[in-house]
Amino acid sequence: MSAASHATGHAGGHAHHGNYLTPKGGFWTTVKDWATTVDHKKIGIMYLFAILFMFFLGGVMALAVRAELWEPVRQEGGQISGQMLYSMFNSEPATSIAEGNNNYNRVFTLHGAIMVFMVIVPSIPASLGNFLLPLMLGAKDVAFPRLNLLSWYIYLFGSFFAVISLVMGGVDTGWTFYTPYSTTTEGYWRVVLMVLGAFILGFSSILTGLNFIVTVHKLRAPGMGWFDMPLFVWAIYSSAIIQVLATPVIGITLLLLIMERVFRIGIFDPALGGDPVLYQHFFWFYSHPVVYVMILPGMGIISDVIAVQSHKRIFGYRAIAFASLGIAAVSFLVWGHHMFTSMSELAAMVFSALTFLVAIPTAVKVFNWIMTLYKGSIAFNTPMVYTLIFLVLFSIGGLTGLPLGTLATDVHLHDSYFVVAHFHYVMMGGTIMALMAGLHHWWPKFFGKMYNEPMAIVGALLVFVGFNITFFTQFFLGSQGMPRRYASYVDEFQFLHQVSTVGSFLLLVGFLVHLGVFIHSLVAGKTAPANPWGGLTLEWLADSPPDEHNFHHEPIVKHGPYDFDAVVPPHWDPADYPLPADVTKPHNVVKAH
Amino acid sequence: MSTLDTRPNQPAANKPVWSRYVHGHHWRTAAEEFDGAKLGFWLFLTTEVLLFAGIFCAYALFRAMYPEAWAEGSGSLDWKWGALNTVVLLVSSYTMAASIYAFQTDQQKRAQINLLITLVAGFAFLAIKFLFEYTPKWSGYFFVLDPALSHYPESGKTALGGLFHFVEGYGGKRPGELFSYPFAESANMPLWWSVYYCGTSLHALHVIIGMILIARVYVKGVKGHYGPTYYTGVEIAGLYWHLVDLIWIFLFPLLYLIH
Amino acid sequence: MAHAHAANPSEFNELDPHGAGGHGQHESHVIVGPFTLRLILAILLFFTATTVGLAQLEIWIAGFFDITLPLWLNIVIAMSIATVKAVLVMAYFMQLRYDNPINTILMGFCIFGVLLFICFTAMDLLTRDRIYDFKEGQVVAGGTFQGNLSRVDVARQEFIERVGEDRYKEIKAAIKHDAHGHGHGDSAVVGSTASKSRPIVGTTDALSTEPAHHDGGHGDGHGNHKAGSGEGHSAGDGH
Repeated sequence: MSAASHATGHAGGHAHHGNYLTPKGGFWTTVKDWATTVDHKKIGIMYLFAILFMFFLGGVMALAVRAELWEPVRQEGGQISGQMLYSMFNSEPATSIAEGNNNYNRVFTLHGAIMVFMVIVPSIPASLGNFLLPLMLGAKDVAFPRLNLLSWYIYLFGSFFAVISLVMGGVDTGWTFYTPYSTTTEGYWRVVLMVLGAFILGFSSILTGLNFIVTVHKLRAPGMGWFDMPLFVWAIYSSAIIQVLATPVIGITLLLLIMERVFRIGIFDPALGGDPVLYQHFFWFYSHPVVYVMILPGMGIISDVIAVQSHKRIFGYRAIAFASLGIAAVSFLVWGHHMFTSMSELAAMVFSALTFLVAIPTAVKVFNWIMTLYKGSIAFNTPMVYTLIFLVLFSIGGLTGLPLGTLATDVHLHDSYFVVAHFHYVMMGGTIMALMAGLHHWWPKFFGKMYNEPMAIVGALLVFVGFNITFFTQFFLGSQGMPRRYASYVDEFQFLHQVSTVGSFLLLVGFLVHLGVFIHSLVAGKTAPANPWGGLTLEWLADSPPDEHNFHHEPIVKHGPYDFDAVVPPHWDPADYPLPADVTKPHNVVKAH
Repeated sequence: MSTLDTRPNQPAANKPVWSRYVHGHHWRTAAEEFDGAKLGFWLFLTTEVLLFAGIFCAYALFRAMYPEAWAEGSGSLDWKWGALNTVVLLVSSYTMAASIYAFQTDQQKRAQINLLITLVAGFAFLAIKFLFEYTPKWSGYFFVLDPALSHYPESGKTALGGLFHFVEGYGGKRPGELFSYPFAESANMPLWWSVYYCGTSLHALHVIIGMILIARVYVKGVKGHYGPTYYTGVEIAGLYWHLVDLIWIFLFPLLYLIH
Repeated sequence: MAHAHAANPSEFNELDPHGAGGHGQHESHVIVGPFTLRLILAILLFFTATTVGLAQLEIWIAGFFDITLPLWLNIVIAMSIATVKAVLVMAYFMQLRYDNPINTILMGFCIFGVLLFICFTAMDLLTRDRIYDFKEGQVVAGGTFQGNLSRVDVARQEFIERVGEDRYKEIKAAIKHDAHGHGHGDSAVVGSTASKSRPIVGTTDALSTEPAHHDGGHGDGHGNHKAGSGEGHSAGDGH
């Protein structure tokens, strides 16, 4: 049975000549090669570094916000105090509180816009998805490689506009660009450029999603049915559906917003007869489903990592796969819960009821993951640590969503730090932690180098502790009445704000440790074997790093992606991998078609 | 519906470009590649439909909220231009489909002529849109085509011996803040014009993109890139052009006929 | 479309897992002949004529017999015909009928998404006054462009300042007169509107009556609108 999976792979000690990272020649030749490559792996790696850079940029903004909140902005004897951000940008002391607050508004807007549009939305699909999806399917490339390169350049182009806007002074609209503020606030071109940037980034997202859907439909390896796909692929597929169906609506929204700002067409402006709540519907019809574009690929990573790192068949494969599709479907029905306080009572009731539906597929996933851990032979390495962190943080994020989805409590909690804490637990505690899990899990595959495990775990724990110190305090702040997006607050909140700020700098330390681990791995890491964790999905069949054409021969799939009880993983010696003794008749070893 | 004659016995040197097409190395067969390209493009078309969904949504809701503005608005559009443009687009859709048929049966000349007709129809659509709809409404001036010559004695300017009259319309029927027409009945008329201009100009933009695609297909067609076994590019451009038609099929009654 | 596999379906071919050999060239390259295409074009043109004709018929009936058809009839007929036309274009010109069914399913999802978007948004925006009446309508009709004036009011005032009250009324009366279908030969040029070919108000009762939630914050426009409606009807009767 193990021979089946070995048939097309090469031995672990295969000499690494001609992998995709091997330079094609001199420096400029290599640069040109990377700039014009249609190889999904190179595009994925370029995305990865761009996203990590943007994450750094957005993180700096976040730290600036937290630093500003160390003490409230207030007037003491004619002096304005507590305006750290203002003094960072200006040599003259502030003469009014509003001056400093404007800087604060810009910084948190940029933090949100960068993190959402340039980091979390493209993070997992564009980087890990691009790299891994064809490998996991046993394909040579994505369906439309040139389109893939185009979407990378569109991403750069869109980010370029956003960065121009940032350099010109940024925008203070909040990342949601709510009208009529966003169409009337100062900084005419800055807002237009930022919105244009987000609009262009949407195209990148659409093209990536479209590419993935066709790849999954058309380019699966021989023998790979729909239910032989790794769950990461299912998750990417589900989120690709959302990307394709939801992103165009943000396209038209932002287009109308630009028209509104440039020509004052008044569709969203009550001064001209328009309806600002219509804008909110337009915006959230995209931006709620896109929350699941952010989290679904993360869930896919967790499914894969949890099965491989506990060396156990995933519990409830089909349930998880269908839960992905279920989340994608439900995601289109619940956007109204972002605007409970601005919508009609009837609609709010309907949206509230529908919102709770999300809990069902999400809980199905979480329970299945926990059941997978149960009695598994768990490897406590960084991917697994991050997976556990994900489970904890995502559960807190999910459960704190319930009071926000309940109308009666939402009236008190909306637009407070409770909301801020909630979505940071889901976005950062969910997506970014999953990204970190996946990054460590597939790092050997990406670069052919192992990383320093103990240091990475130290980093992970620092991130975990720092994260909770930063954001758990914000639940208290929010439920006590601290509104979001304010630079000033009453003195009673100062202690919790300071705790939160300390936590955020602990997070910085954690991520710096990771940065060090990654750099160390690239420079001096041990050479990675083809299959360091004993995974069964097809990417482990390829070399580390993979050959330019992914596989030496087209793989033929004869077993499920998680049949750890029946199949010896590729590149492993059967002697080192005793299968469970009670497995007498392994199912799925040879698929009957 | 019939199967293909791929004419396998032609000498290699004389073979046209299309018959030498090799599918991408990551696809198993050319047929799979064709299917994949179509699936990908249909996915893209869904995004286009959802892009216009924003316009349709704004239209539907503002119509429900301010019916009097919408009645007045559709009353101030001339259904004749709308109907003419509908016919132009439908005919161009037909010629586009016919050019695919011609390529499939290797009638290169016929395919090229059909593509050219499609392009001309695209220009005609845009010309009608800009000359007879946008310009008069936006500028506040409009010109009247008067075959009887000197039908309108009071018009300010004439051209071509009285065939065209330029008449002052007193103010631009423009979107939002740019609106300056003094005789609007409903207070929400600028909103109607916003939806009208956004919808039709976004559609016109798609017409232009479609025409660029068709022009490209035409040039490649002249070079012999398309034939019975390979015509993916034509198919894609055709699908896009039909989508443009589809959107107009809905925009026309919504804007011109429903009141 | 029968997707006949070349091989026995029960035999799994390792190198051709999806049966690509079974439905290769022949299945995906469908030729829709010119007769079908022309027929479809003819049907589409016929439907275009029908939908235009029915819309004109409604106005004619309203003017000639003074029969007011319910407003929804116009919408339902126009949209049904548009839907039929769209289906024809998709099925034959875009060849969905002969294509891989996945593309049709995709379009189905897409249309569902559009309907969902519009319906759920409508569910909010159109039910604002269900519990609290004060949430209905606009605070100031047309918005507060300048002070309490909408853009339309401002445009009107600017025009009156430019040409004077009397001239304004003269032109307005002429536009109204022309708009109610008294030919174009004898009308004054001030009333002729190349972009206006049919009555702007007064076609149906539903149109000429002020909607309930229109609060009429701008006295001038409100009054004119009412007056215009009445005039429209008398003109229609006299014809």
